[in-house]
Amino acid sequence: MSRLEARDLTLTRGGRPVVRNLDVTLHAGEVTVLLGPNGAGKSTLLEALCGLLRPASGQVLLDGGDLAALAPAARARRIGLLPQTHEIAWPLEVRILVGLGRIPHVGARGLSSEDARIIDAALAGAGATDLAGRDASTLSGGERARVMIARALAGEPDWLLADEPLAGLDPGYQIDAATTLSGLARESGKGVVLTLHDLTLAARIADRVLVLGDGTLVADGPPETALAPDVLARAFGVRTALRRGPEGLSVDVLGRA
Amino acid sequence: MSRRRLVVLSLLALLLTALVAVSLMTGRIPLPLAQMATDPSDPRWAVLVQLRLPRTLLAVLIGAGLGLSGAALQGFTRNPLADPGVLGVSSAAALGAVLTLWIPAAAGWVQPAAAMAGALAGTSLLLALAAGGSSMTVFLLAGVVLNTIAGAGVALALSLAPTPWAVNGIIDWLMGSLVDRGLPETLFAAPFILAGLLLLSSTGRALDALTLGETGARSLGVDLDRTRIVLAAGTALAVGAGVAVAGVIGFAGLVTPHLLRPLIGARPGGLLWPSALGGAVLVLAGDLAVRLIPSEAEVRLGVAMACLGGPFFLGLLLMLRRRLG
Repeated sequence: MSRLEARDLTLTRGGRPVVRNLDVTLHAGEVTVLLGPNGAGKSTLLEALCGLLRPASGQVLLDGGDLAALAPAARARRIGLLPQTHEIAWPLEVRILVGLGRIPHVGARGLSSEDARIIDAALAGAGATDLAGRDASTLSGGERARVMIARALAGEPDWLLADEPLAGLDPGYQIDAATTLSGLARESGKGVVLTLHDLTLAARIADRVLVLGDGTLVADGPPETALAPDVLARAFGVRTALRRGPEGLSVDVLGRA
Repeated sequence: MSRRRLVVLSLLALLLTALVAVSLMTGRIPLPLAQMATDPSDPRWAVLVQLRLPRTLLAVLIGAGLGLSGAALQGFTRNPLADPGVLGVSSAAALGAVLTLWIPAAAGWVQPAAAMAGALAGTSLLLALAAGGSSMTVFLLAGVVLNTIAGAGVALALSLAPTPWAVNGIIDWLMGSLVDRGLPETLFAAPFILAGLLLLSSTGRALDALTLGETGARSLGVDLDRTRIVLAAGTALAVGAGVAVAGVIGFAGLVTPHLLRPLIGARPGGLLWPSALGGAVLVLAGDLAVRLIPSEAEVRLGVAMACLGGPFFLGLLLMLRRRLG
């Protein structure tokens, strides 16, 4: 199984340290959820884990090899990123937009029928098949989020790093997208790393939860332990209750700690 | 390639071929080809080969360079108002060329080289400013400022011109014209413009990826620094070489991608070659128009293009004002 490691990783933004001396090993086949209060460094860490942000010190290793040593296209074939802001600069047809995800694989050549099949599968996986013919500039926020998930799936990376992929989705589409992402990890054996804000959603989808606070790991473990009230009190400053129901775990936020 | 794009490309190629034929046959001296064919020493062959052909080729090359660099700059900056003329790249090239008038007995290559250096400096400055997520406003302002500075430099050169010849030369660059451009100028500019076209057209995939923003493009394996360098070099060659020979010709780069987007879609990489053909069609048509307008002295091509392009640019601003506001 593929693994993605941060080794003594320190990341800075504008000279300010955001993540400090982080050591963690992520495993493919698992859904890892990254939690933390605003400004804790979640997005910064995701960018570094997919090789877009040069570490101030330390390393990111993909299957033991330094990620920084990989050529950009080779890296992009292995690790895909779904950024939090869904910038779409031109009014492209959704199908063409999703096809952009194939760029690391196709280089300068055009899309083949095999690429077209992968794009169809990606659209279906993100519940966006019905949007395929639409002009992307006319999409609503939630539709846009589904299309961007399809775009990320179309790259068929070994690792998919997604920054708030479920934000702005209706509950129904949230469940669909969560099912697709967890299927990617548990059935296809890919590595899936997500940042989320919704604690219950995190509890339901995650195999492993990393809680970031002030640039370091506050907790690392299965949802039962990493989402325990004392952890969340320290990281977010809130009182919570972790409940186990017939449908799985849920986290109720009760108030300020 | 989509069928629609193929159809539009073919139609543009056909249109360009027809315009080239018309351009070769249009001018003060009629060229009855059937009659000329019987006599290879007919002096009218010289008109065709040494005057009309170079002028036509030059219009096609310069137009292709403007169209392609406009499409590439718009794609890279995700900004529909980007264009080598609007952003001051052409003016920077003109300034580079004008400054060489002060070099005594400069070799023939110095002036075009200075024009390309000016274009390279201008483009590099702009693309550096476009990096790192500066807003559209900052970028456009930088272009306006570059245009102003280069324009002021040329105006200063005009008032300090060493000789009356130099004054005429400077006015030529400012207004843009293909009058009396012969075979030597064409053969000089052609390789640079062609190299620029090839460099610019190699950025297609990177420009496609940039639809998703800088982070999105980099996550798809696009090397943005490399793209920026290729784009600056390609624009400098394609636009700089054109300005060196024919002066500043505006708006073809701005207008062409906008005319094509409704026809073939907005994918930036897909717009590159059609914009090259479209730019060639526009500039050649413009040059034909200035040759056909009955007037004492020929209207300069740059002036004619600005007369057509100015109102279009205004309309574009009106359409975009909500997005810019």
